Amino acid sequence: MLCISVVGVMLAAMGRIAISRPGLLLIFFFFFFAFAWRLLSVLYIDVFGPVYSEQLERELGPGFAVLPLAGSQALVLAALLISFRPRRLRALSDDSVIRLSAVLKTGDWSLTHVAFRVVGLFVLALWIELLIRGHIPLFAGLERFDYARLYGGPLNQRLLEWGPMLAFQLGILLSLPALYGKPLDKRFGALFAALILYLFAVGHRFSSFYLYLSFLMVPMGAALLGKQFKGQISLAKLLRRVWLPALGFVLLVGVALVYSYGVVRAGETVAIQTKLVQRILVQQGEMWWMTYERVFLHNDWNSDHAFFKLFVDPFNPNRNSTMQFLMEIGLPLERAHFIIAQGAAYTGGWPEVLFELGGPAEGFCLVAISAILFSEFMFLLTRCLVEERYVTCFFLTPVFYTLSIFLVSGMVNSFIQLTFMIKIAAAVFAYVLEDRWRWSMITATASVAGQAVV
Amino acid sequence: MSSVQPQISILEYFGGLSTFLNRSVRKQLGTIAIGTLAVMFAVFLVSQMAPATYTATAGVRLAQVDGEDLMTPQATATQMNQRSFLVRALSASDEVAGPDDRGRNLILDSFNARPNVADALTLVVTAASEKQARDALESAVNELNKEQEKLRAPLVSELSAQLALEEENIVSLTRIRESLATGDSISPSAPGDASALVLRRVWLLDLTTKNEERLAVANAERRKLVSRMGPTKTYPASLSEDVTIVQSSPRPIRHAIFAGAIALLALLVYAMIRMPGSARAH
Repeated sequence: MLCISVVGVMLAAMGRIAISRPGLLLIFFFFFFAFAWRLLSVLYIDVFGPVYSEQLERELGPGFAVLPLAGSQALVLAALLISFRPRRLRALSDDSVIRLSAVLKTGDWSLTHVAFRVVGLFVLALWIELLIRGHIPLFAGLERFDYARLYGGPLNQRLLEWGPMLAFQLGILLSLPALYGKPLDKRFGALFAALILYLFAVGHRFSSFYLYLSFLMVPMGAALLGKQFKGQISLAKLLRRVWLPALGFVLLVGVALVYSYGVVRAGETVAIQTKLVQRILVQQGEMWWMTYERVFLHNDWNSDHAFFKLFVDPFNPNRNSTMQFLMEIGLPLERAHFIIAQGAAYTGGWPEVLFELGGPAEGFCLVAISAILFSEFMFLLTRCLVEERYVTCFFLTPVFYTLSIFLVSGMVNSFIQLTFMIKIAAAVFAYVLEDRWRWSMITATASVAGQAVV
Repeated sequence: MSSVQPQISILEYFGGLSTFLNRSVRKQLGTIAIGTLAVMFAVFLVSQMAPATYTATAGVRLAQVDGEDLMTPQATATQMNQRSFLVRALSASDEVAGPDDRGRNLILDSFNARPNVADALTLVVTAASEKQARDALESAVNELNKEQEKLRAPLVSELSAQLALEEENIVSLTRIRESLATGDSISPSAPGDASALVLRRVWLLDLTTKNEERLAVANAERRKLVSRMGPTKTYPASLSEDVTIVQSSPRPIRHAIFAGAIALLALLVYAMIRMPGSARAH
């Protein structure tokens, strides 16, 4: 009963944020969805346990594993609410914010026109590449991984690496008119739809659509936040506006899932119900349950070993070391290495990795630190979006992607890569450059108009 | 709120940014150039003074008996990665790390074994000299063989016992063959009894054939046992010949470039913050 109440409170808190601030829901949809799913999965294991896990080949539950998980998620929600507090949001409203267009002279080569042509060419080239290579997974019954490995071209590969970040850029351009109270720029909506249809054709299912859509919605959420204090936006109004594309999207995801399980994996249909229960209710929470059992029940954690396996000697340093480490300590070593070598990984990672590093008490401190850093970064990103700092947003995108993947799958080894440090350096440079340049422009404009700059 | 959505010109946007950057850099060009070079030079000097270390990487073919792994690569890696294992290995050969603690600690801290392919491990170790690094790997493999001897010896002695039995069997069968081949065994018991002689010859032929068959089987079995104990199927763990050794420290040029990049970024940020226009805004 305690577990159910705690999960109920957490879901209610997320629902309350969604209703009162739909902008925040759009910005954090990726995280809220993952959080809610994991909570329900762990609750299922806690309440209906012992539950057999196919992946771990053991029974899980019952217990109180959902309590520390809900506590960790509550810390993130609290940090988000503090970072996005009303005073700060008021500073982002139309009355207070100074946008780029206000300080920039008009001229040739519109940003949106150029971006539309560049991204349009890329999407067109993607489709051409798919057609000339001849194997369309949708019709050939191929898995997306097999297509990428056997037939996927260089553009397909680039999309797999950078796709969510491209979706984020499309979101910025799509929602740009919304900052001025205009309808969304449908050209970029069409490009996104073409991209999603491409993913559907190359065998992607739920997870890619969820990731791309979440990244597309972040800038739209930032644009909505700017309107929050004018009282124009409510969740119902928002849903009324986007019901048609949303319905189309849901239908596409449904068709992709049915096609995947019904046609591509037709041989497995006998066990489809078991597979769905495992996929939806067990696999999302099983790794957290293992961490809960080790750290909270048996007090068995080793920071040094965790640090070594995460940062110094992961089995495959080119992939998420967190899940590799969790699998190594949760499964027989040979089986874990066999699965990792196949390229597969289980679900979860955050906050497991922080409790494996810090133990039950310091783990919460690490969760709090990660929550504060994340929420402050998200506010910075939102501010840059609202103030139309496009160059900064462009360079913040890979950092945002890395942080998002950390908060969902606990990936920490990307933070120590040289490429990530270069991305951070580029983002710092772009931020300071654009910030100082904006200030110089604002002061120059204010001096001409004879106004004081605060 | 603006009711008309203004178009942002890329030319104006990027032109403005690059002009601002250009002005900032030109204003502080001396500071940026000298500061970056100074940091690079200082890091270069400091890095060069760091003691030299060498990292050795080598493959290890794991021990097998009768074509089967003595231990799985994962279990062997876990055993070798225990600090106590390496302490025992280094104690067994004192000359590896030399008398100083630094060299010994460097080896203990850096040693790592990881499963590679089906029956091999990759060992990595950092030491104060090339020889120490190579010796550390060799002593780790020697220690591994020493500790695996407990597992290996019973299996090998069982095979040896089987081989000894088979050899005894072959000797006995050979002796029988020789006795059957001598003329005494077919001498008639009663002279002139032709049918008895024929029967004896048939019986003897049958005995000889059966003996030959058993001898052939015993020889084949012996060959199989010898092959199972041979160097292709039964061997201890061994270090591969091609040990790769690279100097991992000092790397003054790499460190200087890295430090220079950080200094350049910091000085560019400083230059932009110090721009009169942006400073006045605050």
